[in-house]
This record gives sequence, structure tokens and C-alpha cells, in this order.
Amino acid sequence: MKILHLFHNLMNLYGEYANVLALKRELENRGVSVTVEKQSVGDKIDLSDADFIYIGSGTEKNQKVALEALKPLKNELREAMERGTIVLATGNSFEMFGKKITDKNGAEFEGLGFFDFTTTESDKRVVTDSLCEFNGSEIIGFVNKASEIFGITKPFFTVKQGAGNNKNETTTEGIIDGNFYGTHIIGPLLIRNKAVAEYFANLLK
Amino acid sequence: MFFTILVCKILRFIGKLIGRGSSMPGQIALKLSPKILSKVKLPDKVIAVTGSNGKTSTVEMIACILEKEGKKVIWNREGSNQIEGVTTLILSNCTLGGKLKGDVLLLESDERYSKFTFSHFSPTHYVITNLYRDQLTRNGHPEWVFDAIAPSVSEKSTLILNADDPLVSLYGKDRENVVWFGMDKQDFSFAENNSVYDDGAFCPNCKKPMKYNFRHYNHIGDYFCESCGHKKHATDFTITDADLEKGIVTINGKEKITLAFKSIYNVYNILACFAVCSLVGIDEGKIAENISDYVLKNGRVVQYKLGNSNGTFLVSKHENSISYDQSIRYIIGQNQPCGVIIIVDAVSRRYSTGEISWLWDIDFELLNAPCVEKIYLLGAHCEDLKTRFSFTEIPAEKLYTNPDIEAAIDEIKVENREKLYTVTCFSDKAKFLSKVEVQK
Repeated sequence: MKILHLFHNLMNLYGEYANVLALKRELENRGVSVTVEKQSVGDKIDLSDADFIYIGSGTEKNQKVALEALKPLKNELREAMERGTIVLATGNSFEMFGKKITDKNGAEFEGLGFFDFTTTESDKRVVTDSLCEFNGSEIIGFVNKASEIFGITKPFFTVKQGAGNNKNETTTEGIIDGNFYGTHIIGPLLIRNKAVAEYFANLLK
Repeated sequence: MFFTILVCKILRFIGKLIGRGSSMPGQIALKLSPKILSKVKLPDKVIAVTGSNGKTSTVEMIACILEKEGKKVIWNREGSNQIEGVTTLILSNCTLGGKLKGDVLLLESDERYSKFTFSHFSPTHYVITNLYRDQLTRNGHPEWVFDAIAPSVSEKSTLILNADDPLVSLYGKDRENVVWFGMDKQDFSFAENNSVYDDGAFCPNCKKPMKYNFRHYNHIGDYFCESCGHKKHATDFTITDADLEKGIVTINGKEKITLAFKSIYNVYNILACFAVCSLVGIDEGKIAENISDYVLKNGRVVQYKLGNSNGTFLVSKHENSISYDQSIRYIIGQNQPCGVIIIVDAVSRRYSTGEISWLWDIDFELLNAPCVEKIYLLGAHCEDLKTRFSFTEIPAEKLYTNPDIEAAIDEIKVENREKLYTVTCFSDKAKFLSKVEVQK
């Protein structure tokens, strides 16, 4: 089993790397042998044999750098997801997979375009503890973002307390579409919520 | 103006009598007269210090040195560093005619609120110490803080910048009147980043991969970007030699200073203080003399006794991994058989949150050292700490977990260890210190 941790040194705020540790431990507890590979800007990024791809939160600037680095790999990424590779993007990294990101100065950045949602950044941060629900389990975590996301129809979490994808959609958070999972919940998510780590381990095993 | 100043003084007087904080009088003064700070006549020297870590200590040392040289210094010793507290400080130390009664105004300034304070006046000397991951629940991330400080930086001020911090150094890009401080390569400097995360991996200017000739800690060191040319600036005030074991540092190859607290972070604070005091005209020999063996009064290091154990309490900041790393490195550096007590009970004293992702940014692996005999994880977040430690190589039998701080202290007391260290934040400080004998 191979977990590919993309942009580990670029999209690395909020202790996000620990999501990978949590998943690895969960799989190993089931007797699965796991290798973790880290690839980032400046490396040759190879998605071909990854079973699981993880990307974490970064600064707004670093997100744009990661986005540019991913664009040439768009087709490979799409093919990987089609053949069953699971992608989990937490924090603002999941915004890259939408159509467009508009920054706080109004500049537009074309996204990877896998999904139809769009992101608008602002100079105000949304900062809140979060309580959500997923597959009947209570999910705890935190949101620390400077953006709103519009146009998601298949959310990841039901929000009981905290922030949703945007200020009008306060009860739905993140996205699940095919093999792609995106959420702004940090924690780290898989550390604080064993149910989510188990969910992904079950998918992979 | 007369009326506003009078009201502020009266409120401050009453506030002191009833033990209230120092921000309310300023808050009301700003309501009565929003531009009051631009109207006050300030002294020729207005020194401000901002940045993530080291503000309070640096300001305290500057005040001490200037006062020893006979200057009357008005400074926010209580650390109220947002605009309201600064307003209270200024107005309660003004004549009713609006003239500050001091030779120097010295301000610790909150990094997110500096832009409000300094929209009314500009410091003559503006120190920016460093930008770290600090209270990210309020601050987002260091680049966010960089953008928040930027509007407070005026062309008129002499900027005093940490040349070893690549992000802070961007404030000095394409600008005159910058004074740089930094540290030359030392025995303890290292080549590769070895902490949990690396905020020096990419150039803050162009975002291409960045390199280092050497680092002193985390992203602080001699960096250079081959892509855009952003690199450590030559320094005007330099730690040319630092012996942390003996506790002696040399500035500009000349002035020797002995350290009461032998940590690299303390050295940077001393250097910033030295630079400012020299720039405002204090004799460098005198600065060195007065800062040598200076013991900070701000209570960041407290000695205590618990049973037969001697303890050192190191105030660290929750939500600030470098602050924790600093305490942990200090403990390991002493290399004395010890027990280490880590308390995370209330994450913040200002707000209630369960945000604990910062635990993952702390380099707890460093505690996997033979001198550390036992690690006590205490407080409401002890299970989160335990999970964090379960991902280190530290043997589980060295760990002790207890949410009840008081009960744990009773147990630790009877173990009679030779040495104890306690690492926690202001928000949890009293919960521990009220249960041990604090040494004056």
C-alpha cells in the first residue's frame, strides 16, 4: 500500500502531516504494510502507483504554487482517480480541484477543474471549532480559512456547529465526489477522528 | 484633548484602585476622541517592538538599560500591546496639555494591531523580531501576519530587522533606513532543518525552493534564494561569537555579554535590545555591562521547589511550536537527569478552543534523550498529548498521563526527582505554580 503525501513541505500548516501518520497506523493495525512517499515542488511527481494521495493546508500563496505544480499533472491525476486512487485534500488544498480561485485582490486563478465549485478568498479569516457528522459518527475539528466555496452539491460533512462551505451554506462542509474527498476541517482530521481514519482504511483494504 | 486626557487619567486611576486592566480607559478615550493619538506630543524617541516571539523580553531589557542611563521611559510593562492599552499608557503619562512626560516612549506592539496604533504616529525606531507560527487560531499563518504588519511600517521609521528571518527581512527590501541584526555561524549552527516543519523551505519572496548556508534554529539562519536573489542581508549588529554552554556572547567582535538564561532565543532578544539602545545613543560598553546577567522580571522563567526536587518552570506559549521547541531544547541542553512536566489545560486565556493541531508542530521527539527520565502529560488535553507522543520514539513507559493537575503534582512530589522542568503557557501557569514553592 502506498500513500503519497504531496507538497508535504509547502502545504504543511496546522500539523496536517499527522493525517498521513494516522492513516498509516490505522492500516498497519490491520496488518497492511504501508509505505509513505513525500513529493513536492522541485521533485519529479509520480502518481502512478499511489493508492492514496494526501494534500494538506497551506498559506494562500503556497496554495497557488501547489496549484501551478499540479496543473501539468492534471491528466495523470484524473486517470489515477479513475483507476481507484483515493485523494484526500484538507484545508485550502481542496480548493485547487475546483474551477477557479479568486484571491482577496480579485485576481483569478484557474483551478484543476475536476469539479464545478469556485472559491473566493477574502481578507477576513473564518476561524471556528467545528462539530460535524459523517456516516453516523460525530466529527470534531477546527476551521481556519480565508475563503468561501460555492457550488458544491455533494458535501463531505453535515455541520452541527462551526462553519459550512460558505456563509449561506452553513450546514454542509467539504466535498465527496467519486474518489475525491475535500474538507476544510483540520485537527488533524484523521488524528482527532478515528472514524474517518477507519473509513479510509476500510476503503483501501 | 484636555477633557479626553483627564477622563483617561481618572479612569486609569480608578481602574488601578479596583484592579482592572489597562485597556478600558484607552478604549473610552478613543471613543471620545478617535484621533487623540495623533494629537499628543511625543518625545524624539519612540521605540516599538513587534513580531511573534520575544517582544515582552526585548522591551523589558530596553527599558532597563535606558532607565539605568537616566532616561525617563514610558513603556507598557503590563504588556497591553493593542491600541487601547497603548492609548491608556500614553494618555495617563501625558500632561493635560497633551505632552508625554518622558524622554522615550517604548511600546510592545501586537503584530495584528500595530497598523491601528501606527496609523496615528510612527515609531522612530521599529523593531521586528521574527515571524513564527504563533496563535494560528487568531493569526492564520505567518504570511497573514506579515501582511497585517505591513501597513504599520512607515517610510519615516528606522526599521531594525532580524536579518536571519527570511520573511521579516522582506520588510527591508528596496528600502533605505534599515538596521539589520543577526548571528554569525556558531558551533551549534547546523546545515539541514531538523524540526517537524520547515518554514524556510521556500523563498518568501518568489516561492522557489530556498537554501541555507547554515541555520541557528528552524528557519532562522543564513538563507539565500538562487532564483530571485533574496538572501540574508549583511548585519550591522552581529553576534560574532556565542558560547551557550558558558553563557557568553560577543557583539560586533567587541562587547561581551554574559547570559542569565543560556538560550539562543534570549541571545536574539539581547541583540535586538543592544541594537536599539546603541541607535538611540547609549554607550555600547554600558549596554553590555547593564544587560549582562540580566534576569528577566516578566516571569517567563521561574525556579521552584516541589518536595525535595528543584524545578525550573519555563513559560512557553500554547499555539506556538517554536516557543515549545525553545523550552525543550533548553531542557535537553542542560543534560541533567530530570522529569519533564507538560501541561495543556486551557489552550488560551483569551478564548475557548479545542484547537490542538499545534501540538503536531512541536518537536517532542527531542525529549527522547537519556537525561529525560519521565514525562508527565497533564491537564484537559493530556490524552491529545499522549496521542502526539505515541507518534514519537519515546518509550511509553516514560510517559505519565493525568487530566488532574493537582493530583499529579502530589504524585510527582513523592518521587523526589533531582530535577524537574515544567513547560506550559501563561493560561495554565498558576494552576501549577500555586501548588509548588516558588523561589524568589
